[in-house]
Amino acid sequence: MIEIEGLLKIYGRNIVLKDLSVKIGEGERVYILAPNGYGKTTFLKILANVEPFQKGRIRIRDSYVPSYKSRKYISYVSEVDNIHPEFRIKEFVDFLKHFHKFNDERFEGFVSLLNLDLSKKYSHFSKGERTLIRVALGLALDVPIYLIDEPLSSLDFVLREKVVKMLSEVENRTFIFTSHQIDELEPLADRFLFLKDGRFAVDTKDRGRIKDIYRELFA
Amino acid sequence: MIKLIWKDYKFSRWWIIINLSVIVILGAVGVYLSLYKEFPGFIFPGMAAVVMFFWSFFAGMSHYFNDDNGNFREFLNTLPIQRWKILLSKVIILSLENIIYWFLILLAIYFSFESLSPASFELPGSITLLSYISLVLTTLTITILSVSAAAFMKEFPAKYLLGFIFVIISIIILQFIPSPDLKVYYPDGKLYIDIGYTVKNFVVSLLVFVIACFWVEKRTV
Repeated sequence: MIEIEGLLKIYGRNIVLKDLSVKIGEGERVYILAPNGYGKTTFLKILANVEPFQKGRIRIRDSYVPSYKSRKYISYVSEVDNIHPEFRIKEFVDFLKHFHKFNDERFEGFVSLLNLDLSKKYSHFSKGERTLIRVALGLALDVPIYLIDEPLSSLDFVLREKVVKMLSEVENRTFIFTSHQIDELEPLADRFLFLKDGRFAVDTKDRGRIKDIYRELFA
Repeated sequence: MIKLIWKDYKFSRWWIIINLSVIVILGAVGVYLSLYKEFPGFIFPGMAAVVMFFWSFFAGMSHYFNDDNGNFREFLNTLPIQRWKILLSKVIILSLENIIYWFLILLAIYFSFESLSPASFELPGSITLLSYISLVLTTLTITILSVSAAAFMKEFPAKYLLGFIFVIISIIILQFIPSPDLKVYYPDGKLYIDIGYTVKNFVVSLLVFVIACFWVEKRTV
C-alpha cells in the first residue's frame, strides 16, 4: 500500500534520510521510534506532501508522492499549530468538508469526549486543547492513511488517555505515528520501526523488546 | 475555489479594512490640502500610484509566502487541492482588493482636486475610463507577476529579494515586447492615451502566471 524506495532528504548539508526503503501494508499500525532530530517528522511530512525530497520514489496505492491524488488518501496531524487561529472550529469543519470525506458521526463522538465548544475560535483554545482538536479533526477525515506526529505532546495524563481512546476508535485504517510516550502508544501499534542514520535500522513486531532495542540503538 | 477565496477574504479582511481606512484618510487629507494649495493636488495621484505599485508587489509576494500565518500553508499542502487553485485564489482576492482601492483613489481625485478632475478638462468619459483601466491593469500586472515570483522563489533563500529582482527584470523585458496599437485620441486630436502597452503587459503577466501554475503543480510541494 505504501512503498518507499531509496528516499533521500537533505537539509542544507545535513543528510536526514538516506536510502530509506520500506513497505507498509494496508491496515498496519506503524510506530516510528527515534530520539529528537532523527527525521521522524521529516519522514511524515514527506509522505504528507509537505516537504520535498531529493531522491527516491514513494508510492501510495495507485499514486506517487507528491501528487494531487496521493493527498486524497492522507490525513496528516501535525505537531505544530497548522490551523489558522481565526477559524472557528465549526467553520473549519465546513472548510474541510469541501476537500475531504468527513466522518460526522466520528467527529461528534470526539467532540463529546473532549467537551469542545465548536463555536470558539482556534486561537481561544489552550495549547493542549489545540493538540486535541488537531487530532480529532485529523481522525474525523475519512481516509485510508493517517499520519500522526507526536499526538501526546503537551498533554496531561487524562488528556493523553483521551487521545489514545480516539486513536483506538478508528479501525481498519493504516496509521503511522511518532511519539516519545512509548508506554501509552505501544499497545496501539502492531509494527515498530526504529529510525537511525537516515534509514529504518530495526523493523520489528516484538513489542516486548521495544525499550531494549531503543536503548541499544540510541543510548 | 470559492471556498479558497472565502478563506483568503476571511483572513485578510482586517487588512482590507485598514487599507480602505488609510485610503479614506489620504483622500480626506487631499481634500483639505487641495482647498489651500495646488501642489498636493498635483502630487497626490502620483503618490497614490506609487503606493499602489508597492502595495501590489508586497501584497502579491507576502500573500503567497505567509499563506495565512505561515503554518496554515502546511495544512493547505496536505489537502487534496490543486496547487494552481491556491495560486489563483490569491490572485483573485488581490485583484478585487486592487480594483476597490483604485476606485476609491479615483473617487478621491475626482472629487478632491478640481485641477485634476477630468470634468475640469472637459474630457470625454471614454478617456477617463481608459485612464482608470490603464492604472488598474498596471497594478494587476505587478500583482500577478509578484504572486508568480513568489511561486517560483518559494524554496529559495532571500526569496523576497529574488522575487523583487524577478518582477523588475520582468518589467524591463516587457519594454522590449512590441505593444498593439490601442490609441484613443483626446478631443484636440493631438494628445492620446495609449492603452496597448498596459494591455500587453497584463497579457504577458497572465502568461507568466500560467507558467507559475504549471510550476507549482509539477514541483514537489
